[in-house]
Amino acid sequence: MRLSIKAICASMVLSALGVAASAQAPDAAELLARIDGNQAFASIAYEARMEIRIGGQLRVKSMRAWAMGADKAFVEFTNPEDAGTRMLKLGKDLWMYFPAEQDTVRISGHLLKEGMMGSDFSYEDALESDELSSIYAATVTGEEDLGGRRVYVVELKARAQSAKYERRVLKVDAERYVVLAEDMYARSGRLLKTMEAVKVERVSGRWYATELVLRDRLRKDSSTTMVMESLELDPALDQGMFTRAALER
Amino acid sequence: MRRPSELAAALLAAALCAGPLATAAFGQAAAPGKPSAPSGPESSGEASFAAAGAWSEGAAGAEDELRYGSDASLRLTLDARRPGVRASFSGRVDALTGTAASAALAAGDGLGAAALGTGEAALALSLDRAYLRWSPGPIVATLGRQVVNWGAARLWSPADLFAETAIVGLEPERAGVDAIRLAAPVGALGGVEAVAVPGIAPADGRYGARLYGYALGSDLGLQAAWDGGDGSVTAALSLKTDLVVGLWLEAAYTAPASAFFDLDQAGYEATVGMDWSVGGKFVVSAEYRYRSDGAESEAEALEALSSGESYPGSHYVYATANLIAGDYVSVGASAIADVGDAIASATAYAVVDIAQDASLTAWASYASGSFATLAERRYAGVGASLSLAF
Repeated sequence: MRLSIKAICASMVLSALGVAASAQAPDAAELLARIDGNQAFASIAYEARMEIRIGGQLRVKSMRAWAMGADKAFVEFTNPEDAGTRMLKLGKDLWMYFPAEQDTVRISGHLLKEGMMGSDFSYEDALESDELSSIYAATVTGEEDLGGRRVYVVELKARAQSAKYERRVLKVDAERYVVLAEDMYARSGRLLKTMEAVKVERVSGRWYATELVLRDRLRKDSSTTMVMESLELDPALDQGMFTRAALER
Repeated sequence: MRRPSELAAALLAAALCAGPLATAAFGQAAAPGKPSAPSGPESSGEASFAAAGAWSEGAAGAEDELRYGSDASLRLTLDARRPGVRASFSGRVDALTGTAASAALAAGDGLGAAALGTGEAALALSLDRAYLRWSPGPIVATLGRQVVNWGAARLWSPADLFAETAIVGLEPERAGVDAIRLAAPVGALGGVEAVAVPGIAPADGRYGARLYGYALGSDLGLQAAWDGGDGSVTAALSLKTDLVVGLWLEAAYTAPASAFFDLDQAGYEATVGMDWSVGGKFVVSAEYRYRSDGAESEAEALEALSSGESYPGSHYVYATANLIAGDYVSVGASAIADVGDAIASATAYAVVDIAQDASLTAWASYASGSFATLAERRYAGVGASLSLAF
């Protein structure tokens, strides 16, 4: 689900404001504020396809997801192998429901580093919900061309223990204010993951990346593509959907 | 062994045939592209083929036995939801050949390649789930065969007052029960439940309730059940928490309802366990179980077996280790030990994800005796299975 919120929101900077690019780059604090502001949608619902490529082989997971803000999300997998498996995110806690066993399991802290459903996303990625401005210090380090689009290069450095990555480098579309690429680094300086937005669409007046590619650089020849379909912004969702009772219903 | 389910069959028939319930449960399918309106019906399933062979030591004076067999199975799951109503069904048919067949029939439900015996061929049916769920507002009523999963432990769960757990294939699995279940949430992560398993004669049924929640990083559950069959009452608690490693604890106290506080007539059972992930690729777990009234002889074990207890002793340990050995390969091992009776078994396996929704599993196992009967008869087996989800 952070697939969407982070992979959408964190990857789509400033789209809520939808302002045209200016000749002068905004300062970093303003950029972060716009990023965080963009994440503050009331609710979202979508269907998605997760294409996991490892060593030339492809595995596809499909899902439906609903979220309220950054702290509540509900995902149900619909591909045959995982049909009916559900995930509930409440703050920093993650629960999974397995239909065959009718069993609900909280994903313990020591298991959070595992790849989610075999993808390049870890459960920790899914749980990350802090506002960027609260855990990172930002600097606009320049502008460059990326695939024919002018982008601002924004460097984030962790200033809170809760930051999952020590350093992140965002490339923000200067016209549409969408993150088109992101590199995520460990404390050692090693590149851990990269994200690339390969498709950007206008949804409900906002620019959104609806197709993202995440690569875990610690895995050889591996990538996960997230394709979002049927995206609805601010649909009316029931709060009761984000409960353990709903997970098991 | 799973019991026949008249109630579940009746509910399933109601759901699959015409009628108000069927209309409610299997009405209009969800319009594509409307994720905020989940509905159905949706179907999924798994087809698999398994083959296995085994050697077991003969009883005193008898010859050793060599057995083999195959199991071609098809599992089908149907799930339909409309606002406030859900119908779910999961059933399985197995075509057993070779010496697997008669063993499966003799065991009543010995499905899967682990069931070996002597015979020619057999067809076996099983019903894992078949229930209707109605949720008018926050209250949820579930009728039919379902897994009433109240425990946190893996193989031995004293807090599971309505579900029996057994090793099915390579993993512990809780069996469904034909029940009426009412549940209401308490906060976002807690709830109360009442469960009735009336059986054929309601006076001989089993009835219980549970309060559960999540606090201080821990899952907590308090539950109790009255068994009309023997007049006993069981009170149990479960706790699962995370302190670098995952930890769980369950305990149950059972006594006659008429003398619940008479400790001389009471029985106790407890399980403690842990699991730990190393680097996200290697996961180990271990579980210890104690019961106060464990069998101390083969005769007592057979008596316990007749009432469905597969692990009749007092002290058991269950341990597993799983390693992600490659992008599409995982290997693992599990072991069970009856500490008091010096009986142990071990299984090693490898699972290869060979294509989208398809996997190949191979395993080998050894046991020094029977946990159920305490008989010291050695056993060794190997097998492989190919599964395709659809």
